[in-house]
Amino acid sequence: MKIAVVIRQVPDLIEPLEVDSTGKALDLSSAAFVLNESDDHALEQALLLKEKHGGSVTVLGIDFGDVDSSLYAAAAKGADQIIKLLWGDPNRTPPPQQAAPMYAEVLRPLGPDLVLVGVQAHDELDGVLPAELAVCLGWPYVGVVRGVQAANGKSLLVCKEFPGAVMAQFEVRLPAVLGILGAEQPPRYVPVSRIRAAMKTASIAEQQVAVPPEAVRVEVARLYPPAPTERAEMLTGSPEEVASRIAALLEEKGLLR
Amino acid sequence: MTFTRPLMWNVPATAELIFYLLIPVVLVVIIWGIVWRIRKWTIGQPEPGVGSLASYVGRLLRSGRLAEWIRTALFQGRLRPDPFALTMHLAIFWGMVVLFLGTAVATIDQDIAHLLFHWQILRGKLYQGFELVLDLFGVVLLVGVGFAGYRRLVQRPARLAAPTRPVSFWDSFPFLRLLALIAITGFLVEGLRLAQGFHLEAQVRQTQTGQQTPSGSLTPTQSPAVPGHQAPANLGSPSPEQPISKPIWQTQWLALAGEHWDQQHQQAELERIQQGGPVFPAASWAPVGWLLGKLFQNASFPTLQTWHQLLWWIHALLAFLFMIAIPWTKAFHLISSPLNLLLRANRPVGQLPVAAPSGVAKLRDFTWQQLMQIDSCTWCGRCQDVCPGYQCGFPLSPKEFVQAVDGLLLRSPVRLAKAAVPQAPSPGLSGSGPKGDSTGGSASPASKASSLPDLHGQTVSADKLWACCTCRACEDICPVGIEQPRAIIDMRRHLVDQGQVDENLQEALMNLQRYGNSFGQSPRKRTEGLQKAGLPVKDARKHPVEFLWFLGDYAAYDPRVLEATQAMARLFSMAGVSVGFLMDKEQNAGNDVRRVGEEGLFEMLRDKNLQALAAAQCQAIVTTDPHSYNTLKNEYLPSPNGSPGENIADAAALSADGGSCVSTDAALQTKPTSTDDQYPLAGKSIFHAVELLDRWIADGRLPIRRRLEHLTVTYHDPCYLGRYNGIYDPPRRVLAWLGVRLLEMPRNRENSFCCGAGGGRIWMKDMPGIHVRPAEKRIHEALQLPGVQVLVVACPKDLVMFQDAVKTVGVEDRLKVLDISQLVLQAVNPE
Amino acid sequence: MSASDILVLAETPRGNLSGMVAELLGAARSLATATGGQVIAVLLSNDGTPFVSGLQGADRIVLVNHPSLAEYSPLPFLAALQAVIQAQTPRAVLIGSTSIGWDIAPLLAARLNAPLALGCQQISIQDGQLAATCSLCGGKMLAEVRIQQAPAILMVLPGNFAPANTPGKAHLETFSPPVELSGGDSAGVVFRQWILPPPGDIDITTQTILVGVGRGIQQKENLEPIQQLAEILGGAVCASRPIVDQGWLPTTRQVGKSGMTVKPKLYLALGISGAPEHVEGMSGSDLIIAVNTDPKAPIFDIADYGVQMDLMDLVEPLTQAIQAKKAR
Repeated sequence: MKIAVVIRQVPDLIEPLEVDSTGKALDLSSAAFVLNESDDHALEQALLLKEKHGGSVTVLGIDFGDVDSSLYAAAAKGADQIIKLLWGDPNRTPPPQQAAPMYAEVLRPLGPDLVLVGVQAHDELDGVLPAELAVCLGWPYVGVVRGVQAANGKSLLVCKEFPGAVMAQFEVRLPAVLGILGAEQPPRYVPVSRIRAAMKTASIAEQQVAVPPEAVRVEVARLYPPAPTERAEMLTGSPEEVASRIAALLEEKGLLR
Repeated sequence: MTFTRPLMWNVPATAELIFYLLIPVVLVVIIWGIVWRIRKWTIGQPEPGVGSLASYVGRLLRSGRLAEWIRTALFQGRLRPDPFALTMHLAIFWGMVVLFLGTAVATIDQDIAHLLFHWQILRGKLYQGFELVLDLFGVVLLVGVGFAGYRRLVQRPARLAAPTRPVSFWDSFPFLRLLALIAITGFLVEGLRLAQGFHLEAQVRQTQTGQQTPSGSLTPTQSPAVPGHQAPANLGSPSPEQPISKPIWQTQWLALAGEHWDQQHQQAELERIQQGGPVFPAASWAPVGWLLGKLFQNASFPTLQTWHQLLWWIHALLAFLFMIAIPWTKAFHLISSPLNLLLRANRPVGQLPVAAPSGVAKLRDFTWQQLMQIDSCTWCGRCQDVCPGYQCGFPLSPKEFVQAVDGLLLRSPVRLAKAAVPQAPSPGLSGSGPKGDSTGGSASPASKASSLPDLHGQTVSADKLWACCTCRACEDICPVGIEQPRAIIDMRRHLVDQGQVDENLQEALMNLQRYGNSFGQSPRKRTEGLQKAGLPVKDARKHPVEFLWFLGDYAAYDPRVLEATQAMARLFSMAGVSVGFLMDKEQNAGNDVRRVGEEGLFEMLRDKNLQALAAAQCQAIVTTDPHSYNTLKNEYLPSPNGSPGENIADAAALSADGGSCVSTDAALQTKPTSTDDQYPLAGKSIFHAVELLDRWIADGRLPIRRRLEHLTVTYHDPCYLGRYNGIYDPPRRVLAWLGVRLLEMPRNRENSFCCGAGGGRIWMKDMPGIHVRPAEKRIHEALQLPGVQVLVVACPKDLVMFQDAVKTVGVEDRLKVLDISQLVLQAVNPE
Repeated sequence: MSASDILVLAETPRGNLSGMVAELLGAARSLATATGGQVIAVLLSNDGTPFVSGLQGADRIVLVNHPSLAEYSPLPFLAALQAVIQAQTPRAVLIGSTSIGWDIAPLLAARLNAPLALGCQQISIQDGQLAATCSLCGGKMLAEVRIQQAPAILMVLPGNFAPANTPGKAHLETFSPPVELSGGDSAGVVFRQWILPPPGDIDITTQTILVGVGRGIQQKENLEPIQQLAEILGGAVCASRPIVDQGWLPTTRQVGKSGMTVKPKLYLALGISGAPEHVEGMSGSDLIIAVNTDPKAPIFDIADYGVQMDLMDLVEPLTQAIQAKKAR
């Protein structure tokens, strides 16, 4: 099976996020970037499929942040091909609607059987990349996937997660795009020495892509951090009073269903 | 002419011939065995820092190794903590050595010196002394074996329990019984021989009282030696055919011993005996033999002769058996252990040698020295006794680990182990599942090799490797100098290389890769705990300072340690010294990263730290963390295995992955540090904070304003401060100055008991199936001391582990856990 | 733009009307009031009749009944919803931030070239424009967005809107989409089966409500009323390490560094002091309510609400209060 994985760089939430001078966007210059967590799972799922059924794994990432390191790490983990998409602006990532055609442009000639992308990136506001990509490629799509098995050469058995550890199993015709929430097992650890070795042996294929026009349908008027919640709000009173306050609170939050 | 040793008494010439023919056979077998066994070591890799063996030994000897070796190898000095065992082993060892040398000297004396050159050294007083010494050492040997027997049969310590996996069928070799039998048969032979002498002497006395024989008629017979087994027929009832001029005892004496002397000599001996001298002139110098001789003398002469010959053979064959057994049984430690103690590396114990950066996957990936170490194990099990993991139900016993590896080594044919091509480094982890069997396919095509168990998995399972806290208690106590933690870490490195790490450890390692701390916190928050407390935080890269304070992860990020860290900061400022930090550029020093087996990450962290240190202006470095202390002091070397710094560019590129703050540009501007004077730590002392507290209280910089006489405390020696770096006294002096009453726990100083955090264990999940955690065990130990209120520690990880343990044991109200800096602050700044 | 109706997707995974629907209807109602439009609930199923009573907060209920919609499958659902939208031309489509929502909303937006806003916490009409406050970057940022184009697809985070509780007389209609829902492209993804978690101990990582107990519970007997509380809440009991060490709960219930990492919607921490090892495993919970006798306990640093009280004093009244609420 020929599998492609799309990986994205997202701001590291460990570091404080700042809003830029326009007040409408993140200040990317002060942020640190990490591999999007669900993309890491998508890669792991791809590697597991390859190990089980053979085939190849190609990893694609748009030139931004520290995508090189993530690509090398992917190579160290066992990706066969790593491709960096150059879109002319290494200082930001395109929004999903704009990014999807760029990935599609690279993917079409590659002709993968399966494209795995993390179902979510926390900095996405107005689009979900794997879904955009599926529509762009005209392929079937299921998101919130946790676990993929190859059924036969033409389709996959895919588990989609529902609350309470319930899974819905779907048969998905190939080629398809899947939005991965989690791989069957946590992403593997890749020791630094292997990443170093990959930096020496693997090479990143750079590919220039056409940039589609950005259509802003959702306009950000203001971006701001939520008011910080300091220590817990203390509930006082007799046990009965506190109990009814908590019960009311839970009801208010829709937790008493 | 003085008397000499009666030679080969009662040993027929054929027997003697057979005996001497056996010697070369035995020697060949022994040498062949030793070569067989030593060749096993040669499948290993070169030992870093050794080079040519001859020059290595030369270097060791020049550094005083010989004296140490005499102490540790010849006199088993490493057994000193166990006087019973030391006595036992010295007795057995020296008993055997003296008896063997004595036998050898006697043999040479007789069959080379005397036979060929008619010159004999063992005569007169020297001979008597020789007999006395040998007799005494025979007793010594028996006492030693008795001690050993008492321990094995009566005391039965668990550590001596039989190995679960026999190395070979020789494992069950009845070693002690053999030694006992050799000694006992030796004495019996002697006793039986002396008893024969007593018989002859009685005859002499008889002839003297009955019938005077002119001394002149003492003509030596020309008759051939009577074969020993025929002689008894005539004894006791002298036949009338015998010439009256020659008493029977003379005939007998001549038959049994005389042929070894020339006529002149024979004459002299017979005369001496005739005049009432003993047949065996040293008989009374061999007290055990003499007593046995007296015991046996009532037996008939022929009986004595038969038994003597029989036992002589048994004794000889047992001795041969023992010698032959040496290369094939654990008696081989007679050779391997002294060799190992001789060739031990001279590096600081805190400096981990890394011969196989990607880990030990197969036996041959160990160095030859490691294989030699493993092969010198005597199965004494002391390591198991002191192992915190073993005591708490972890799956690891260092003894079993060594035995398992040694067993595999002995079963592996050298040719196959060597011939197998070393695994080519695979480009990725592809092909082997991350959690799957990673031992690599059996590279050797030979079926014999494939029938051998794999080193990983079958021989040593991963959970055993992860159970090690690297506390070094095992290594420290090992009488023969085996470095178990090193071997375990080498094998861990292979697991890490294959991506086989537990989830929690993986998270810690990912955090360390990305943020340089195991907590997954922002590097910018490293000094936050001090800043929030309003303490001055100077950037040592911008302001010159006296001390660069290397915080370490726990002191910086763990909220439970923060109070201690703040106390230390206050003490620094009271002592009036300027302190600076590497700020967000400080990375975990890597001590435990290295011991977890992530060598690449260790190098990356070390290089980033060195790079930051190069930018700092300080006179010395201080840390409260013994783990950081150890690696900074012993492992941040200019060029241990390739110079640190060569990977700075890579490190920077990697760090960029997590957005840590080293930019690639900055990294590339820094040239790799290759020479000593460019090296950032050159000329800088590295201190543990407790050393400075000791110093500053002593010189009055930190005056004690209130002595804490109301406190009864005990002190826990952190492994990486104590056993690794020998810092035992400074904390105790500090406590003495504070005026507290210090009660020592039974396990203190080099016997300290690990809290269970070391070697990266603090990052891993609890071992399944344990019955108690090491830290809890230690808390129980502290609680046994009457009136102890505080457990004083000098390690941030200890603080975390023990604070947790007092909670889980449920004694928070009885025992407080405090860092020594917190106590000092109470005394220096009483309000 | 004349569109003023607000469309709500009513999910019925495994034959149960999603709890989100009431909230969506509540959000839609306030929006429709501002736009002067109607709230339209769309129910895609093989037979939607049993769910109609739960959709009374809407003005109109559109049922699309089709065998292909018997169980959820993204492509037939998408095609059906798309057809409804094209027929109804709403101002906005509200979809829950659920497993189904994460498929349908972005696919719909991509197909229709419609604006999509993720993580909506507030929705309103401001100056005639649709405005929403969206949570992103794991809740570390809020974005106020304006959307002109209709229909706007809004993915709504649970727990932010009061459920619609005005039972109206919703007009019921059925709609037969003019597209083929089975076969063709829709056959790309075919539902096979539901896989339920294996019986045995529950998986605390998938629970939406957890009651965590720590050393403060003092004795094992105290677990029983807490188990009852958890049951009534519809959640499970989990614990910090000391409790598991004591053997009072199996290790499958341990939260924290050496146990599980959980992210429930509610974490009720009873007698947990908040050691970092424990906090690491539960700090991602949406709502944390902590009960502890020590006012300085670090758990209060991360909790949303705190109660300084002996937990055993609170458990019984709390159980009763919740029972009372649920009974209503």
